[in-house]
Amino acid sequence: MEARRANDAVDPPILPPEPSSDSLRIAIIGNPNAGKTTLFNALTGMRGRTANFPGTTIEKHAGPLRLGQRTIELLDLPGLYSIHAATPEERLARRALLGEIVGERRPDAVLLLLDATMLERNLFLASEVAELGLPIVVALNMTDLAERAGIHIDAKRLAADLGCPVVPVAARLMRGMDELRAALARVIELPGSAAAATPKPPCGCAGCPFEARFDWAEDVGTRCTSGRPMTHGRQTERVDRVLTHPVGGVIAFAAVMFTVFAMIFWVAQYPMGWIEQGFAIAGATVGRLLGPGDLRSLVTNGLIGGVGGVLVFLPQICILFFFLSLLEDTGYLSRAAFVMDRLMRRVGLPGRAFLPMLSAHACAIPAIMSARVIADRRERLLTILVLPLLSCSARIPVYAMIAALLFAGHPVRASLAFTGAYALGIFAALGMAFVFRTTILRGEVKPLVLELPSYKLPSLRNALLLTWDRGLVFVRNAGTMILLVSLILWVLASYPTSAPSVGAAALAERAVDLARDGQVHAAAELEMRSKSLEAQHRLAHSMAGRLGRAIEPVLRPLGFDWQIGVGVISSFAAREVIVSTLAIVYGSGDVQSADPLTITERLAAARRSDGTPVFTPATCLSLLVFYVLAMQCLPTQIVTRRETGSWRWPVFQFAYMSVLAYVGAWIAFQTARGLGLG
Amino acid sequence: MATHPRQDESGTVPPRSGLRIERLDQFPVGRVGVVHEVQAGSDDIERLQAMGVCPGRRVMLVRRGDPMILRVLGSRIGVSARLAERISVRADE
Repeated sequence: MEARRANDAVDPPILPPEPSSDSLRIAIIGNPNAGKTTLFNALTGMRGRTANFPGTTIEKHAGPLRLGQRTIELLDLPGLYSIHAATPEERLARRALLGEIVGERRPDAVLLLLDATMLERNLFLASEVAELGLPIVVALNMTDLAERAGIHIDAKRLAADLGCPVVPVAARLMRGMDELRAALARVIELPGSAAAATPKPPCGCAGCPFEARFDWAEDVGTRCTSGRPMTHGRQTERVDRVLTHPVGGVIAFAAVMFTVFAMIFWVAQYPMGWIEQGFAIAGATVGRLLGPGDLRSLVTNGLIGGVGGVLVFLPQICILFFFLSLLEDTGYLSRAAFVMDRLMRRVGLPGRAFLPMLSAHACAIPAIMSARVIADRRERLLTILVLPLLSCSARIPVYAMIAALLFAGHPVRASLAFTGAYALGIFAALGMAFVFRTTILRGEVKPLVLELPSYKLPSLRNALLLTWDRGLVFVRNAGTMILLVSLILWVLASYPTSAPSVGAAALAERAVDLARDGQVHAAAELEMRSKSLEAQHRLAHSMAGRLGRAIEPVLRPLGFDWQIGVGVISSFAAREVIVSTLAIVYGSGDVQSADPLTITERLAAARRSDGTPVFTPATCLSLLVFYVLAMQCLPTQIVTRRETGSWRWPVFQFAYMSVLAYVGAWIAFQTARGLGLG
Repeated sequence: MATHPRQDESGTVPPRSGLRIERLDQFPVGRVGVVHEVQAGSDDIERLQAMGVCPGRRVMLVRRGDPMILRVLGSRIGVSARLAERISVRADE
């Protein structure tokens, strides 16, 4: 391919279209909410791929499309109202259509998607696309909904007015797909024929103002439409009276959000349990096969533990995107953005930021990825910066541990501690957004311009495809990174190896003696104590242990000792790791036996050298505040880097959150101690 | 382009050729009007125009407030008051 290109450059510039069929390309273009994704999925099936346009963070969906004997590439461009508008997506779509993107071939034809329920509005874009000099096939979508509303469109007439083929379809019902393929095939196979004619600019000039284009659109629309279009959307307006109400809308939004959350946490716990069990079994099996030693530790704790630690969050992420896709398809998400705009605007965030902020309670990584719904770059950056402050599900094990330490036997108070931690996260995120808006990202929120599409039944197919797509992106991006980091942490926690603990060896010897005397239970218990003492001893003398001691003076004002320091260091890659690390440093056994109940019991019993308990209420509160506010997730930082296009922002994010966590934990500790809570 | 007429306290502008012209955000809810003037100058206004809120199009205020909801060319659009202030509407004849 590259060699051919080089030759082409020497050849005369006018060449017949490339004969190799796989290089042909058709771009889908249409208004947002016109059903582009549904049509794309209907035409390409499961074979679409998601990538970024070269040098941008704007997503490109492309997939193979069978047209008779050929397979061509179908490219889904971002939805837009006008190709002359100035958002990054619209600029990019325009450049893609003109072939101005380096590394992207210009499309050979355009599949222009028009929404039959709003023909006039959609024809505005048609008037612009017709000026690009590319052959066009029009897919007149949502004909089913238009017919139900009593709108009849004369496709032949429209084709004559536009000067290109028009195929009525209903992508949601897969209706008209064969006819559409046939029309596209004619354009591809007979370049230059009447079927593939390039329409003339319809309203005269490329620089025509909005009015002239809309006059033309109204003209064409009126000629081709019959029926009583005003009845369309009555149902939607009735529902919207509640859902866009300043008070009712917010209540409805809270109810929807609560349901989605309940689904995420309730449904996800089953597959999460299976994944954890599966990895535990895999670790145990592989461990038996390998026999004791460094390799076993590396494979079971480092590799299998690391992969399991990532995959366990996959169910929550999949469920989140599944429901978000359904909500988006129905048209509800626009209403949520509409009612939230009024509230979010006060701290300098756009209404659309609620979607990533909602997602961040499952995991910051998909949340940062979904911040792409915010068109303005500065507002997107602002949202990304504060997203990791919201309590993701990796913090749940930590919150659970601390709540149990603080209020053992008081489930109501423990759940209040839990709620408090979530509230602190939300408060911190909104507060920091406000601070950044008045300092480094100064400026007013962009005014809202948001279409509220008619309510529709959601497409299960779209939801499943999106879930699959997002799941893959998560596993690929976060998975490889967490794996690498957990390997590094394994090395830190395992090396340098130290001489076996004298105490542990003595216990093991006594266990052997007891076993010989037939006291099996006592022997087993002694053996376990010996093992946990050995694990504690090894971690204390490893690099992680030494680092923990080195940073102890810094953590002392927060009420943390060096063991908690080791926990903080080890949870740098993933927060929940602190639970198992604390279990080891306070000598409650190996990672494998990380039963949360016994861990909290042992931690509660942990004593300093002077005999006072380590986990006083003050230390627990301080630790809780620290884990709410600290940036301890390297994969999130990697995604921040990818979405902002520079290392500057993840570094800044890490710095400000670390300062915030330190100051917050210090205030919590000193206040609690001042109140006599130890 | 068009200059933004300064309003008096009631928010109305002096009638031109016998027609009452009002700011879009102060237009009565539920009545159909025709967009009279759009004070251009920002990407957001341009986006709004591409969605059909431009001179000569019929528009209806569906819900008042900030943001408010308009109906234009069969679609509903949520718009900040800050933008709606820059659009003037005359009652449909």
